[in-house]
Amino acid sequence: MPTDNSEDLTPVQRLLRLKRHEGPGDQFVSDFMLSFKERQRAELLKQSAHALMWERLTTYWTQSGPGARLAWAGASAAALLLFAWVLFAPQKDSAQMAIEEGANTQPALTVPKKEFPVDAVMIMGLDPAEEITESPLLLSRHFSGGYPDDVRQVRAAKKAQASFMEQDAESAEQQHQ
Amino acid sequence: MSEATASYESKTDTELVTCAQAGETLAFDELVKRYTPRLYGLIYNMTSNREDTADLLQEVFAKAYRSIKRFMGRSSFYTWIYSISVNMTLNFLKKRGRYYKVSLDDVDTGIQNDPDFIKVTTASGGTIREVNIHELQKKLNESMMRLSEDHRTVVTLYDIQGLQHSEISKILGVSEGTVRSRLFYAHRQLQNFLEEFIN
Repeated sequence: MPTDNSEDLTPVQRLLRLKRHEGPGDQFVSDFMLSFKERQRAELLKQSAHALMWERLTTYWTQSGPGARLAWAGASAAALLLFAWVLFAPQKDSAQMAIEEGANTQPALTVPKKEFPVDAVMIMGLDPAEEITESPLLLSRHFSGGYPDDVRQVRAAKKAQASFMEQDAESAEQQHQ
Repeated sequence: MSEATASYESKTDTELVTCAQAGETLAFDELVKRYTPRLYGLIYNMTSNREDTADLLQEVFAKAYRSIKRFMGRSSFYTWIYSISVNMTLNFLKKRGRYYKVSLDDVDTGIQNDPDFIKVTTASGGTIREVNIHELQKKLNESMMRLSEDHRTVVTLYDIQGLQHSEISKILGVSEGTVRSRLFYAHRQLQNFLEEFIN
């Protein structure tokens, strides 16, 4: 409440008190009320939900007690730590992940392994006393179902024979006529 | 005047705050009507510009309206609304900077009958000296604006608004000792600025 011990005042203080006579006039308060209400209505329409939320949070923060502030600070710090861990945690190489995944899973299809007969003599090596005749070995001989040269030759021969037989049959027909 | 408005006029600040928190907008309107003259004086004496004062006053009450539900009653509504006003005005002054335009309010004619005015205009020998009120007003405002914002605040609250040291310390969030020392320093500076008007 205003103090009014004018006897104890210094000249400076008396001069300053004269500023109480400065004012906007009697009409100011009623005009101000009208413009304030208009502004409130306009603000409600203009202010975004985000701006309102932010203002409420800051007001709550400034007005809350030390206990509530500590709780908020702790929760914010925990959230930041979690975010940092998600962002900066070391990521595995995708190839490494695929290998690890493959090691732990069963193959979808099982392909029977081909059993190739293993010649014990070939592995152990030939007897040095035995005469070795070299013969050209083609890679194709090592695969079952492959075509060795002699088979190709037999086929060529059969083909040639078939064409000769056709020619003989044609000449025999001509002689009869 | 409606009955509803008349009923709010008789309520205390605490009762009006409770009603406003419950959503009664007329209760808040009554608080605005009650505090507009005082807060206008506070902001005007800190800014020396009536247009800025009117705008800032709107901001103060808008902020108070948005925050009213969070007012816990740990201090009086008076202290709370004064704190908001001082803080918002200080923030405004920081943004405004040094270059500003002074826009003064009118001085009411009652000043000539004010005992303080009579004392100022009466010389030690008892003779009345002519003091141009307009010049005096201009000089007073210029001197206030030469003070720092902190010093100007305490002078406005104590010398012009008439608040006690304890009330000012609660509003500003400083000790009473700080309030007294700021006042002492400000008065010394103002004495130099206003030499010509001091007998």
